[in-house]
Amino acid sequence: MSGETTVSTAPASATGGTGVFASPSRFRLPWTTVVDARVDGSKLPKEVVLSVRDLTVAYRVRRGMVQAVRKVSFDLRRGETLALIGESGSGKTTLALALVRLLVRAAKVTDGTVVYQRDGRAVDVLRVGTDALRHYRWNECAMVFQSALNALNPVLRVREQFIDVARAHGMTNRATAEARTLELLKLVQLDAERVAGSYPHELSGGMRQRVLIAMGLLLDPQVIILDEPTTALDILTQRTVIDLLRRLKAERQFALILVSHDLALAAELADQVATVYAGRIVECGSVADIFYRPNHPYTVGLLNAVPTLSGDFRSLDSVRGQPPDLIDLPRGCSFLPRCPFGTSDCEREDPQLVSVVPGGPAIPGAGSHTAACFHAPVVAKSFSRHLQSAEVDEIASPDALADRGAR
Amino acid sequence: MTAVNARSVGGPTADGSNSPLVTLENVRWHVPTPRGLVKAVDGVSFSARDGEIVCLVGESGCGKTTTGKIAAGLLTPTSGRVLYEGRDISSLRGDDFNRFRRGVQLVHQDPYASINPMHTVGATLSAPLRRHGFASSSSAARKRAAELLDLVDLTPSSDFLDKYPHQLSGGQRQRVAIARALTVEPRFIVADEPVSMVDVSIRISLLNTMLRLQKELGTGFLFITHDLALARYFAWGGRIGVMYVGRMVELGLASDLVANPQHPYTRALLSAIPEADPELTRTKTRVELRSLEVPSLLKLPTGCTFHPRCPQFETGICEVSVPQLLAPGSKVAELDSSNVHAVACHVVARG
Repeated sequence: MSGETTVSTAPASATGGTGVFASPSRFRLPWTTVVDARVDGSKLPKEVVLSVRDLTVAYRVRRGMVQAVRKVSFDLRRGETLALIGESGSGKTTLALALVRLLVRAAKVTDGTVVYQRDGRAVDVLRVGTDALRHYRWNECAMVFQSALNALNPVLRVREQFIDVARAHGMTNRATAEARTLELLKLVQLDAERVAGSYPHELSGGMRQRVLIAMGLLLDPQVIILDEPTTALDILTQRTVIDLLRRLKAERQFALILVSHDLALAAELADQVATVYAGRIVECGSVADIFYRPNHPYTVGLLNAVPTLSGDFRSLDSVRGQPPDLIDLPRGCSFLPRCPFGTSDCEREDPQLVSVVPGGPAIPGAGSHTAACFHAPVVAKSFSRHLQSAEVDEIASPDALADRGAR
Repeated sequence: MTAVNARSVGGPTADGSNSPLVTLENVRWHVPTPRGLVKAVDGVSFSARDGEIVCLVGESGCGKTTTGKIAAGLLTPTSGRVLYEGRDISSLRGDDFNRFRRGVQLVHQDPYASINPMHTVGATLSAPLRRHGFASSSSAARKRAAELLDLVDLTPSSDFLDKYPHQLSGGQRQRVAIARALTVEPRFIVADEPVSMVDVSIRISLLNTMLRLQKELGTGFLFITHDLALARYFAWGGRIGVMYVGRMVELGLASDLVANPQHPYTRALLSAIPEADPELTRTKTRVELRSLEVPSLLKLPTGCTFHPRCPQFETGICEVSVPQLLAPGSKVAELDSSNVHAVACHVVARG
């Protein structure tokens, strides 16, 4: 069961992916092909659950290839929350979909690996076979979609939708599945019996979002991907969903990937924040690094475009210009046409993601702060620390705050 | 409330230039439905001066959009009056009514739905110019349309005149919608969630364009949004009104209302809003509500509609009578006075 087992990245011919677990909290990994948990030539640390390297996704369209995700790498640790922030069309949702292999047919993963690890065993998600993939989805890594109305089946009661999922993923006993459904609906603070018997249209937006989160938790996955979980919700409902996620994370210790354009949501929940621009991670660091010590002009631009409720009035401005055409990217740094710091150097080549601290790790993940900008030191220096807590170095993890009057 | 309040700040009062441009007097919008009477708007009063920015903030279903439509004359309130330059708009006829129509314009929430996809930008802007006599020929209309596009930062305007809406981004479409509102040289624009459909990264630049129009052209705005931080930014020099299920619960200067909220609902909202400052947002004190359930408009709670959720609820007062929107220590509503911070709460009023 150690990481040293079979060394193979060949497509898996997984056998027996169903009905293998007795209770949802104890799994046997159904895949037979396990890769050596080596990434970048060294053994994958045990606490890393998802290790992405050079992930590249392109959509084929009539005009050519849309470079939606370009060479994205990061490590996600157990229980950690990574927020992917960026404007619409930056590729953050495509990236999330690629992690669970739910891309549409026109999209192709052209490069990269997505290594998933549990209990010292690891697989390359992009290369596993159908059965293993089915197990990976939902049992190991669940995705909660953006539109809470569209993600639920309008003609089935909530209970049936939970049981459908359970059955598709091997929980064949209806009574067990039903009991678990009610337990989860209670966990997300819903009137379980009533909601289970309701159709989606009978529920409010906040309730639907909570149903989806409960459904994501159905098989106790190690990783949950949330795509814009609070968009389109009212403020007080947003607050319940945020507090709920914080509490669930503290209780269940799952890792969370949060896809959002909402910086405030990242500020609330994330441990690590990655800024995504034109399909690339252009900066990644701890939540304090990103909000108080940004090093990439795009991160700075995003922070300067968010109105706050506290402090003095500051005149704000959006990042000027338009996001680039992902089919025909600009030469050199893709942010150059919009960048106030750009020089002729930036035109020559696309800057690599490097550590901001000399000698620090260059792969985004816990303990690293990376930025893809030739002028990172200048950008960092010029950032005006307008936020109230700008001098704070470390942010207490959301877990620690879960019981501290978070409601 | 048509009288000019003597205590109002700024500007001369004698020549009348400080009198309200648009006033809503106790407007109600009650709709009979098969399941009962829906009180979407239930007695809202406020006024806006020439060039003033007023924001209406509230959660979905609080009646802010309906209030905006009533202010723009698109809905006739079931009771109450809307005054334009001191005259009831329902009594306006002919040229007087057209003056009101030109004076108050609306920018809708969804620029994908509010602009005719079959018409070019130039045609969209030319139609009202011709109809209302702002351009005597189609070439004059085209020239004016180009100027308007420059005004809303769609430059160079020649690039946009012959484009169709589908060739534009959401933000660009909303700029066209604003330019269209400007064709008739309005004095007041009701903007209903104008940035909620555009990408976050360009919201601020759209707001900045609107703020520039307010400064340069002196256009007043009724800005409707659910986002208090946006409202604070946009209405920094103006006022914010907070609505809760059909009623205005708090009205005050934007800077003051956000820094010093009085009504329990406003305080709950402000404490619940996530902010883009991790340390601050994770440690700020939250106002606990007694219930998370938003009341049904069909069956509103008695007395103060917020009482079933209110942390400061007091038996015997709150569920009995409806609190009036009053300045602290005052017995009469002084809503056209722009420096008054008014709150509709029994507990706050008692001090």
